[in-house]
Amino acid sequence: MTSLLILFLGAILVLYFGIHKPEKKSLGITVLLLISALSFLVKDWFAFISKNLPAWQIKLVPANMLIWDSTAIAFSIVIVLSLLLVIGLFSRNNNMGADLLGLMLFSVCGGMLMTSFSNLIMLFLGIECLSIPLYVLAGSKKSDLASNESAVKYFLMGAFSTAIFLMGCAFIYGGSGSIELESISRSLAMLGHIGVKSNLIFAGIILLMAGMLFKVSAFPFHFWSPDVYDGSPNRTTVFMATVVKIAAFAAFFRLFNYALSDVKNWWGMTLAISAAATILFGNIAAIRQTSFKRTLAYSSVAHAGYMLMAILAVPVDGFWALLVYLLAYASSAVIVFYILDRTSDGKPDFSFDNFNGLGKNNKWLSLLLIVSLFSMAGIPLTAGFAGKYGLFSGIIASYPWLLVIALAGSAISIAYYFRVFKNAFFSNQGAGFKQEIGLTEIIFLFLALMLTLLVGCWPAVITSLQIIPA
Amino acid sequence: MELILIPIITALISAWAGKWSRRAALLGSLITGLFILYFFQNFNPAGGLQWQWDKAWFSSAIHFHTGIDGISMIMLILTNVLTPVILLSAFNKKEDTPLLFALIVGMQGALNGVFVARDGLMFYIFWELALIPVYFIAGLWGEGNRFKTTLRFFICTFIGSLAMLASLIYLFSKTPDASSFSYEALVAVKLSANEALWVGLGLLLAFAVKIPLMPLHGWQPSTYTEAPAAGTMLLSGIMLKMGLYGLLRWFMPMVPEALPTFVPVIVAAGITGVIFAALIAIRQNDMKRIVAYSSLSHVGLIAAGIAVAGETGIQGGLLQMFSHGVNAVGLFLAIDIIERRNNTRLLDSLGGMAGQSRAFAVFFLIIVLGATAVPFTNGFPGELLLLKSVFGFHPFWGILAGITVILCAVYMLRMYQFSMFGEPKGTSFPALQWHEWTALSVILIMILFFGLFPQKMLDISAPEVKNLLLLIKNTGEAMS
Repeated sequence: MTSLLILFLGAILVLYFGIHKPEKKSLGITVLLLISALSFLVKDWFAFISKNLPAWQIKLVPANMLIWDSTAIAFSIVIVLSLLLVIGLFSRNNNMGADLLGLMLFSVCGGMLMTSFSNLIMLFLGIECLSIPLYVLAGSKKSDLASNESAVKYFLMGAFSTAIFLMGCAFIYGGSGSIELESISRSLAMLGHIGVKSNLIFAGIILLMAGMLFKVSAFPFHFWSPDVYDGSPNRTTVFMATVVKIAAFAAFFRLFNYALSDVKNWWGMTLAISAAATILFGNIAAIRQTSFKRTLAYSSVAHAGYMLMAILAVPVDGFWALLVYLLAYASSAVIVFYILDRTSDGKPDFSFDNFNGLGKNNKWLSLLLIVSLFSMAGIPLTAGFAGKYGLFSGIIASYPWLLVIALAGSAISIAYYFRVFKNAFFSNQGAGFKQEIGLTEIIFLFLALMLTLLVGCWPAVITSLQIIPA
Repeated sequence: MELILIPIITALISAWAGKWSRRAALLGSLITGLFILYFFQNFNPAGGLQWQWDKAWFSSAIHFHTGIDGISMIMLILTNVLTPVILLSAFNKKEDTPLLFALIVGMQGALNGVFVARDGLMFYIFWELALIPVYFIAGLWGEGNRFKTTLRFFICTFIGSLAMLASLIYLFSKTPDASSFSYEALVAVKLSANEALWVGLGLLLAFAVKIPLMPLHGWQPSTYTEAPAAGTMLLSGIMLKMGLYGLLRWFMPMVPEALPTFVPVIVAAGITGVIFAALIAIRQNDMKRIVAYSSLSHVGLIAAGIAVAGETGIQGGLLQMFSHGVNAVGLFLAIDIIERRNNTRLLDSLGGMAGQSRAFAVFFLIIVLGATAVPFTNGFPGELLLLKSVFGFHPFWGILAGITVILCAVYMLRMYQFSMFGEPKGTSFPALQWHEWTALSVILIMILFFGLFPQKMLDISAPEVKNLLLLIKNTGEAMS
């Protein structure tokens, strides 16, 4: 909880520094804030393991608003860690002013609310708090037409989906008489009793699902994401691919597995079909792209499909699988986007050709590229495999057909991930990449690489922190 | 454990060692070989699983569990004898290739991992890992349309592996409380006939693509032809054996319930492949392609012999896996030596080398005879046992498979004759260098030794094969 306050007050502080002090300092302060928030979160986590914290710690009047339990802490850690990586890697030459940093911090506060809500209103506030700064961030390359387009598109779509989501909340309220997760779950347990209107709840669940599917960019509500990812500046795209995705999945997971798990037979099959379609669509569409950034956007749609499987799995297994998968995806996506950003510096587009000659000129970056693309493709001994393994073993009992589709998707994804290798290593053309990489960037790249490899070679490092998520 | 770690550490060192990398790689590879020698010296064939190493890895259910038994032993000897030979064969490449040596040694580690794994997921992980070095070797130093070829190769085998992963996870979910991935636990799982069919199909897909069995061989000839010599040797000499080993160790005991359905299919696919590939090989002009198709032809027979699931067939299969590994590496080595001196490996532009280098002619001849399965070379006893077992399964397939002996002699001797005899077409044939001498001699010794004393090899695996058959029979009968 302390960390949420630190980040919120810190964001205001950063904005203040942007006005009065040289902007350079705001970057250092942001990193400092994130590190201190991270350390508080880790401290909370270990306090949880030794069971010193009660599950329902924060109760805001007049009803339970936030729950700061292990799920919330775990996902918050991943969120803050990814923001740290994003800021560390994408702020060279101080191209991120205090305004952008402040917006990102505010957005992360929203993300943390989305991991820890215990009330639909709080979830709604979290989503808004996350999204509104994001609309600005998407358009933060002010002179670029594509960036503006993506901002407008994202705003219109986002507002629309939030409205649908809110409608879902209203239906749930109408059906169960409450917007608290605990009481919703209680009334779902007494379906058929007087006062519980199952039709309304059912309609509400479908609307909530539509809203959440939109946020995680899953089929059939994925269509906005390639355009928005492609048009936004790289730093915003990677922010959306990591932080936003993690927050959205944390919320999705909590909402459906804690509050609505009693009626899994209502939404399970729909969600499974959506996951299957997302995996297939994302992977197949990604093959045909000529811009690597767009390929990554579609691949992120496909990854959303895999992560949906976690929500269908048994809650405890699903939680660990989702956590590992999100961590894996975030750490490898950050590296790949970084290399994309560096190689396409000063080039008009993000085509695969930008990678030409990378292998000859920079061996370390090549190694990073190989490891992180392997991780995304789910090759063993990278974090991506650990995550995929967890997801697959979580759903095999209930949805074996979905497993087959997910495996087929993995096989398809090789085709486009390995296309980069063709340009980077197997082709002899291209002047290649000759740029200096700063010390900070090396540190953060190393951190991300270590995460990918450590979790990949030894996932027990995370999953042995076994406490049953509350 | 040492067998996996030493090569992988060597690979890391060697990748950054600059001009010392080839020496570092060879040294690491030889040290691993010494370990195998030590294990072999102290190996008790009837002792079951030896030198076990078991630690919880991913979770309490997934262990890093290694152990060596008779069947693994043969594969390990093969891997660790051939890898130094392959390293030696690449020794005088002019390009700056520390990475090549690192990848070859890394491959050795991954292959050892496949052959010692006693845990389903660990087996899968190393299986997958073995794919990566060879992908880069073929992609970076290959010729022709290497990107497309290697990608096809990777995707084909990856699809197979994923199917295997699905089957393994399914078996895992059926162990009591989904508690263990260990080999014993997975074997003990009882499946209904329908489940066994699907699980078996998943496993078989992985192994059949790798072997490769007849309709799934599409990736093989072009990959063999376009990969550099070292990559082709790794692929044909050792990696194919992963598929056969998997068939024997992981496929048959896992789904004995469905074996009656699968065996005829595997035998038919194998024998069809034998004839089909041999016929194609006769018409080829590119030496590498001849050997690629001959390889396809040989492994078809091995797969059929193993699938029959009799002691003769499996013993013959193991012996032949070893011999074929040695012979295939020998053939590709010889072709590489020829190509390096003539800048071509097309039969119609080669000839007369026998007169130019007698030593090489002798080496090459013995390797060719070994591949043709002439008595007193290593190819003979294995092939004999395999044919006997296939004949026992059904005389029709046995006779059909027998034709391979004739066809094999035709294409092998044709290749030898066209390249070595006649008017010299190349300008000159520089004498063999020391590393080529060493590599060829190792191959030669293996061919002659196991041609004269095949029993030495059969003794290693005999008790373990009996156990395996018992395992297949017991689980199968408990079901029916």
